[in-house]
Amino acid sequence: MSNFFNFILRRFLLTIIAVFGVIILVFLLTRLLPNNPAALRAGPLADAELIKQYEREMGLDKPLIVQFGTYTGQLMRGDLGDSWRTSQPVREELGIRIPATLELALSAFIIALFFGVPLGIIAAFYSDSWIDQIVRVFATLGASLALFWLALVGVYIFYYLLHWAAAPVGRLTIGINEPPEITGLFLIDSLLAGDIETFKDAFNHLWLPACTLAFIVSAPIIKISRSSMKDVLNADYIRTAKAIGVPPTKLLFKDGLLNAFIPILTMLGIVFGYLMGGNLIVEQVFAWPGIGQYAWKALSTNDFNAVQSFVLLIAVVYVSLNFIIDLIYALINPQIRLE
Amino acid sequence: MKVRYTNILVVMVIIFSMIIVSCQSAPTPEETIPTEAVQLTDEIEGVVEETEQPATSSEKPTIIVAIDGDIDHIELQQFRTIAGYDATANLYEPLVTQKAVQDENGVWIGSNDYVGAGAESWEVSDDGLVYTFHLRKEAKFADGTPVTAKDYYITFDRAINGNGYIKLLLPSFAGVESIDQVKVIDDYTLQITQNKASSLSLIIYGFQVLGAMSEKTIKDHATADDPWAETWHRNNANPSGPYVITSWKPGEEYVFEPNPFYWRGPDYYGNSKVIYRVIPDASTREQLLRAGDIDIAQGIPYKDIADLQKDSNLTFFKIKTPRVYHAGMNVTKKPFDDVRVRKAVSMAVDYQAIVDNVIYGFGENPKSPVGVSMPTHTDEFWPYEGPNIEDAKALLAEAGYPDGFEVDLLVPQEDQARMDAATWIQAGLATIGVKVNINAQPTAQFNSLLDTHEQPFYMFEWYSWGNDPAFQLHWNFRCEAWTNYALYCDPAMDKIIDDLIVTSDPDKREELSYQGQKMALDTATWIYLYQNDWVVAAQKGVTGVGFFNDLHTHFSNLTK
Repeated sequence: MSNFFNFILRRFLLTIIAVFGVIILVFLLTRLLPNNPAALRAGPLADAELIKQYEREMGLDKPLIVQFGTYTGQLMRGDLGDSWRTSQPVREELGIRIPATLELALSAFIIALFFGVPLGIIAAFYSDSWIDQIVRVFATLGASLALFWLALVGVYIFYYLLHWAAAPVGRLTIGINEPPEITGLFLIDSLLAGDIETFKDAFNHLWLPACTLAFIVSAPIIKISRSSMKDVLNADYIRTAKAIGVPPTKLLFKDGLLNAFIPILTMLGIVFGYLMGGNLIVEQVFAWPGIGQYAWKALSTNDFNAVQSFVLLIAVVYVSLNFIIDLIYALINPQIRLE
Repeated sequence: MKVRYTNILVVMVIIFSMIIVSCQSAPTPEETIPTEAVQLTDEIEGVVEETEQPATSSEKPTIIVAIDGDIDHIELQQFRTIAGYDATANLYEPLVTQKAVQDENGVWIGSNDYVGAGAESWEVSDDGLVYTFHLRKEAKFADGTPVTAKDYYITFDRAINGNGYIKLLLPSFAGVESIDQVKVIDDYTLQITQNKASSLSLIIYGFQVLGAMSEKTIKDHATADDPWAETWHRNNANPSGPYVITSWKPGEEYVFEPNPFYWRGPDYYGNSKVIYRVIPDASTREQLLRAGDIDIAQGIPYKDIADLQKDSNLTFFKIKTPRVYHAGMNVTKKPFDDVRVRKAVSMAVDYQAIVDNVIYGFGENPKSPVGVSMPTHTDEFWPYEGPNIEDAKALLAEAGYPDGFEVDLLVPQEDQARMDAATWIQAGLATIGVKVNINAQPTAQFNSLLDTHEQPFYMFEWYSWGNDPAFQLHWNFRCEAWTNYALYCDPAMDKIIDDLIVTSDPDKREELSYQGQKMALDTATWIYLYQNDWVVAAQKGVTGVGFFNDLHTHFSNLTK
């Protein structure tokens, strides 16, 4: 048990170091760009004097190391600074948008998980059969289709032609009120409030972007599930187990799946991180008011505080996911704790 | 073996079918289509009713507008986005405003005549220095308090002494440098004493950024660090104008409803609500429009308009905007320091091809820094007639570049039209041996690079809030103007601009403007590319689209 505790502590410290590294990197990267946020804030009619004044106000005239000190000091207090584009606190702005992205990411993740893992396992089990061929075609399509194309075609078919999906105007129909905020996830909040109409509306808006994303991200999940399951099924101990007459269900689920699960878990972590940070395109097409769109606007207007905070947020998501996954590894495979 | 595996297969099939069902348990067609059909007929009936008889306020429609860019904030004197401009234009009432007239396309535009808005009437002293505004006694803020001269005073105070950018306009164009020049005579009389006469004063006083802000509201929300209550006003307002914001969801939706205390009263409005919905993707906006889920779509790409026009359920509003797109040449950088080089490259460009292929015919070549539809515009001094390779080459040789040269052209990469136009410049200049490297940069980067004033060749555009050549020439051709990125400097031009500001006689102003346009073309610091029309796509039946010269959309006439 102390081994396990040591392992957690070690991992946790590493996580902290990684986050700090990200802070330094993000700070430097945004500062190194040959841009002047003061000029941006001052607007197109500004003269040199106003720009100088803003530079002083924003601390941009100070040496980098001083700026970095100020920045980390603010971070410690949970202050992410103000967005220079909207003059609003970045923490609030991200706070409003995170639930939208989280709801979409979680839904897509769950669909991809329950779709991708079983498909991969079946393909491995019936390796080289027609089932395997179909699954492989499916995975290749998911890996090679452009997300924006898929999203646009999805909107065209399911919204414009078939009317199965609601209009891509965001999370709810125009005029329908948000459910009282508890988790920020409309599906859950509307159920908690007992508001079935809002639940249906939120669901109608959510399923198409979620399935679109799930289709794309299920490809790597299928591939990794298939290959790791195949490796396990070819392993000596499975052959031995087969030979001594272990029933195939036990073989597949207990001996097989549990051992095949570690690489799958790693992939799931990557996929979830990607969904949290990388779904700008789907947010764009479905007018989904999430953090991807926010980050894009911030990036294209050189809004340092907003860009830094977004990158930091995504980095923290990834690092925490890795931490959690490490813990699950250690639970599944005791050998890892002894490293 | 196979027989035993069937168990697993069965389990897997069950799991699959559950997943597939869960993914598709979205409404089946039977469930949704009928309800949508009902909604549609409702809307159609609504339209018919309203066109037959004048709507009372409860029957007035809600207008849903899909916008492409987000509102940054609504701090009246500091916002920076077009959507922010639209919003504040409908929230705050300036002293005077452009008289609205309907053009031949049915679009409400601001004419060059000014009428009272917050002010009922005004007088100008004979020397043109003292403006006395008599305010409307019936004008009220959205909280029900009356709009008085003190409120306009604090608005000017804020503009001059706060952090807004309007303070850059007041001294040059209205001769107002200090708040001491603004005086509250009594509750309903405001007097402004300018230190020079200006033909542009009313244009400036009509800018929405000088719309009445409530003194009480500012004082209630001011803090020691923030004496002008800028923070509060970024996402709140106590409007003096026709609308109030009733829902504020950044990046998502903004709802505007009539201001119950607005002095023009309920009959002024064609709608009961205007919803701004942020729909960032152009093709999504198009599909929403075609499906009838939105009433108006802004920012439809020109290349898609021809296709959308085939849809008989849609209608299009088109209006000329004197926004002049150009490729600027920095006169302090070789080889553009030689006017012959600048003229040679101007000769080599195929202007018609740019209008046809870049803006798909939705606009024209302005042929002058003062765009078409801006008063005193003339194309009289335009010397170029299609690409003239021979003369261009000869001129280039005369300037000492017989073999051409190589130059970087700075372009903002998010602007597809400018990117396209850059390739036409590249192709045109290649015919005279000039090699153009397109340097595409993100907009923020592009602006920063421009602000260094070191770029030899850049794609820029200029739109003046005030529809007057003085603004256009001032910002782009005056020696010390920050946005004069070509760094052109000629005291004679500065004199013309100064005279344009103080001269009020229309004939003299026209003559001055002509001189300025001629000088600008003679010096050839810009390759004039295009001025694009502003096009709004809407459902058939939508009327009352309004667009004033200072770039804002007026909501009040919108109806369907």
